[in-house]
Amino acid sequence: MNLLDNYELVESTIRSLYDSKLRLAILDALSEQSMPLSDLRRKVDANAPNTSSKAKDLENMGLLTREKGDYKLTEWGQAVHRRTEKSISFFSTYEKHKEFWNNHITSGIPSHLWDDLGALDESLIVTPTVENVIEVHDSFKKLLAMIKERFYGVSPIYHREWFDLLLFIVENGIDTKIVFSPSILHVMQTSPTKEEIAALDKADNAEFFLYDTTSLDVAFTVSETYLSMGLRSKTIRDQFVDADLQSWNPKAVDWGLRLFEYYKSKSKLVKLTNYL
Amino acid sequence: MTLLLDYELAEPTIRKLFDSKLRLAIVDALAEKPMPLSDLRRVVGANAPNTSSKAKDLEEMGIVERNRGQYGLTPYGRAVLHKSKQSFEFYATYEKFKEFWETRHLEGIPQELLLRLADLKESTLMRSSLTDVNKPHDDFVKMLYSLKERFFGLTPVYHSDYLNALILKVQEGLETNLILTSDILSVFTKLPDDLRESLKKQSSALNLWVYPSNPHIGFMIGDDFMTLGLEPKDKTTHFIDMAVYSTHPNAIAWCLDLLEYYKIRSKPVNLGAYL
Amino acid sequence: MITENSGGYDLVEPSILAVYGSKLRLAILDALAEKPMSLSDLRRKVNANAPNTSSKAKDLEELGMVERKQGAYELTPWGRAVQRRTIKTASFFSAYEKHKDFWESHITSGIPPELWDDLGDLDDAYIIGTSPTNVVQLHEAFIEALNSAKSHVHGMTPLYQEAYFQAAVSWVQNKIPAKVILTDEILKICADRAGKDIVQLCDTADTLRLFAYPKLPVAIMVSEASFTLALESTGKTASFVDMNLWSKNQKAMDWGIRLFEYYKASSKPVKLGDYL
Repeated sequence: MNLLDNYELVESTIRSLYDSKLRLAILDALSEQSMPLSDLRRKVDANAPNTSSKAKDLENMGLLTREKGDYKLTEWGQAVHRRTEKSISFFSTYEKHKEFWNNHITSGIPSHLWDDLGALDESLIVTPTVENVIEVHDSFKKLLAMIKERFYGVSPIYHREWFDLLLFIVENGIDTKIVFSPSILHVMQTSPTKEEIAALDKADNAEFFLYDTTSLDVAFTVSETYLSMGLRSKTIRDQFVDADLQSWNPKAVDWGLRLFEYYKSKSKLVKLTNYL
Repeated sequence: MTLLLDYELAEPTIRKLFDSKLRLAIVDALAEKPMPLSDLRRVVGANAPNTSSKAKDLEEMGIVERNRGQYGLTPYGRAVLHKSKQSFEFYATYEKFKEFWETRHLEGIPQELLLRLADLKESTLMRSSLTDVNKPHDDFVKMLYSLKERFFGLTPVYHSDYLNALILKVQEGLETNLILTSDILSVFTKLPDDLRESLKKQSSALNLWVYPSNPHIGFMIGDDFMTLGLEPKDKTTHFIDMAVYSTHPNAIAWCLDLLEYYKIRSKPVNLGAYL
Repeated sequence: MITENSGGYDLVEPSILAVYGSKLRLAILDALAEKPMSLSDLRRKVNANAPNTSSKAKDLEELGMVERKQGAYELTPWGRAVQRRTIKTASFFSAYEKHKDFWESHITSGIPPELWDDLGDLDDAYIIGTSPTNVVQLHEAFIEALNSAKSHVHGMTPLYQEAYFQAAVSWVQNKIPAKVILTDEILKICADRAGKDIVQLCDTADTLRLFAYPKLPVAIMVSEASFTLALESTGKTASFVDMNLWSKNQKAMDWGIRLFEYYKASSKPVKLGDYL
């Protein structure tokens, strides 16, 4: 097995890196700037012997050097630091929202975006609360109302109030691209009026797409500032609005755009009036 | 232990009775009145030899008797029919809403009302769908606004839409019997001032109780309907994705009994003093 | 920052150590990445006994990486992402470890961070250096690679050698698409050596693209068949030609092309005639 051949070689490096918070902290502190031992130990909040001992470990691993009394990361050390940060965000994003990932179907997220899960590290999960039993829906409406420049989304779900917000957003000239599942196009035959649908088709700032290859297991919106994403519930049929992952971190927005591109590339551009 | 011992005695009867849809059909057909073979076989949709053979089995079991060419149920047969109906309705009600029962906690329903599950047979399941994600909530708000006489129930969930509807309706003279959880009560104390004032003004017209712990259930009885929600097992949607709804008198009676069960275990609260 | 996030690291430390701290768990992740399997097949694949295997598999179940479906173990989407990450991480560290001497005795500042991060792509590479029995082994290998390019070449070097020049001319004559980055110094030498006719030939050939970059700390050559990387040595001897990293692996070749593109982005397109 490829993994295991490599792993024997690097096992001790990886383990000694991850099993000491102090070594990781030293790596972290030095990633920003070089510094002498006195500053370093203060930054990592440890005593001098401990710090210099762990720093020596890192030196032996080729991660840092000493130059004129200052500790400094090597290029390799910088690369290793970046990697540990990415790994920690990666695992951390999963752990922080473990219940969210575990209770929902996650196969709607393609593997290249799973690999970058760390981009969602600074996010929160919105769920119904005691003060608001439909918190997710209400929160979603508030977010839509805040959009100024871009409304991209993938939606296998529908509510008349969202449609009203869609009309409003498109009327305001905001760049809009939405991917729908077949059942949503179907419901738009009955709920909005013909005039409303025609207005959406006519708008040159709006494009609509149909995704009907597989079941849509994600529902999300990416604006210029936020990502809001719901996943299909594992236990309750056709349920998406029991929880919503939201993030204002640019990295998450970027991740969301990539997810959007993934679904758009598998959809076809349609005119809504053709489905009336 | 006695379950299995009794089963040994009962097994032949149970098997013989329930193994054959034709035998059951015969028992059901004869519930109203006795009838000759020619009518009986037409009602159950089988041929004469088959029908008379199955009817003979039922005769041997003491469930059916022949009197002057007519087949009829014995008193025992009548009781058997009744028991079977009860059983089937009980299981059928569970099966009908299996998706609901299986994804929720049932502890909020006391045993004696669980035994009467069949009272909810004539119900529909309100559920959110892909094309109407908040249907139960939206429908519930509509129902609140349509009330004229009463709003009884137990609620562990809150939304300002519910409170606004309640305040309006109470002003119009709606009778309320509401059990809240302490969580909801504390939400009331944190309301924006104007809402709190409206609520306070109506508080004398409200009959409120507080239930001391999480009931894992929410239900409501309106003018001519009831609705029942149960806490999902995975604690996600807080009740609002699925609810059982019925206008049948049995279901409404069932729900009123449920209300009494919880009222006894709750403490009355003077909302005006609380706010 | 890891230290700011040491709440973050605390959260994920158990998962990271659980995954990287046990070769058997890694082997299970790896085995299941191919396909789901029953306990008996799994334990045979990872070469362990049943109780041990099922115990470690249970650990992975608790971490949300593995699930059991109809008696078979399979990876969850999260487990799949973790497995891919462990391979990337292992190759990353392994690519460094395997050729620690190479990296540590040469100047690596010419490799940009994004390519350091993907060092794992060079995992299958090997070193060709000078050997006592063949002091020009490296040179010979390089010339051979230059001359056997058939469909495309990407190259950059701060060195001049008659044989390199001859190879380049033969690419032009054989119409093999070539993109080459050289320093101004080398371009001048080439122009003088070439003479007017060959300069004319090179400048009118549409298969040759020449670029100038002020000072090259890296030398690479990528053809359809191989990739080689040379670095300036930290010692004072034989820079670039003491040890080269080689690979015939597509990932390494792509890595090489990305490195080339990185330098090309800040290079000036030139004609050989400019240097006459």
